[in-house]
Amino acid sequence: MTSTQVFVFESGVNLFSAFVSILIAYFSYKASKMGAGFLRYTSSGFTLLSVALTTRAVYMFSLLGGRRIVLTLTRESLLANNAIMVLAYLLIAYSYFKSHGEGEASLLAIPPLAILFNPSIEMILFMISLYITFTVFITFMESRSMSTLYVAIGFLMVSISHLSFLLVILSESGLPYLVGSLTRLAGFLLLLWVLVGLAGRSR
Amino acid sequence: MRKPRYRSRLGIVVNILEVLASGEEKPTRIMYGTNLSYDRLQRYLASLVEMGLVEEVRVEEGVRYRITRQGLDFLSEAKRIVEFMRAFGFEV
Repeated sequence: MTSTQVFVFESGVNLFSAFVSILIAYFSYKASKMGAGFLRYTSSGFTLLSVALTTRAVYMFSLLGGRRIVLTLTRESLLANNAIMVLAYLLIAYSYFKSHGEGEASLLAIPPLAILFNPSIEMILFMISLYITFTVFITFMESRSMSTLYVAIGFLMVSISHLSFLLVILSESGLPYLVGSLTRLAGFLLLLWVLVGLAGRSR
Repeated sequence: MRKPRYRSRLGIVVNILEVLASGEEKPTRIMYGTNLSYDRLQRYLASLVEMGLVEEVRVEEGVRYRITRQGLDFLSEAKRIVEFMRAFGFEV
């Protein structure tokens, strides 16, 4: 893969993930307005995640020869972006914590890409996304609903992608990056599939 | 098996509307159908009547409750949201 292809691919994956995140945020917002108040945290979390992913996509696009000002602004915002992503995951995890009760929480090679992946942040994101995966999987064990299983697998893939991005910093090759991007893409595709299925069933 | 810490307001509202979707009911029947205390049910019913999702019907033996057209629309939308919540592993 050439650098240009990598940037386009990374931007595409980020934009797609941002789109799915905003869909989930919309459903959660509706649910919170209809009486499931704790889902406002899920909605805020996925909205923030969508903002963070879009900023990453814009940064990658600007590396392809966009305006210098956009490149500078998005590069400067990457640090804040990491914080936004951690906050987003914390909000999502908190909504699961609120939903399932406090008692369950104890479980509790491509140089420009290296800027995107901070080992501490990726480790934190991996741990939080693993907690979310675990919580959803526990629910699947009780409900045996296939949709819940797909969501659990989707979050598991997002967790694996953070683990892979953690390895990007340690590895000389681009393989962990590719694995990370593909698993994240697959994870968000599964989440989108569940949403599309729900929308289809209601008609 | 874990016990949910609490039922969300949405979960309770859907329970009440589902009971009423099968026909006009007395408060005691709704109480059995939703597993709510009398006081709690009265608060929910008052709120649903105010929102126009449920209406009171005065009969000889007291009061009965009936779901409105708006209530049926709300129930159909709420069921979709409940499915979303269950799919994403949230307690309803």
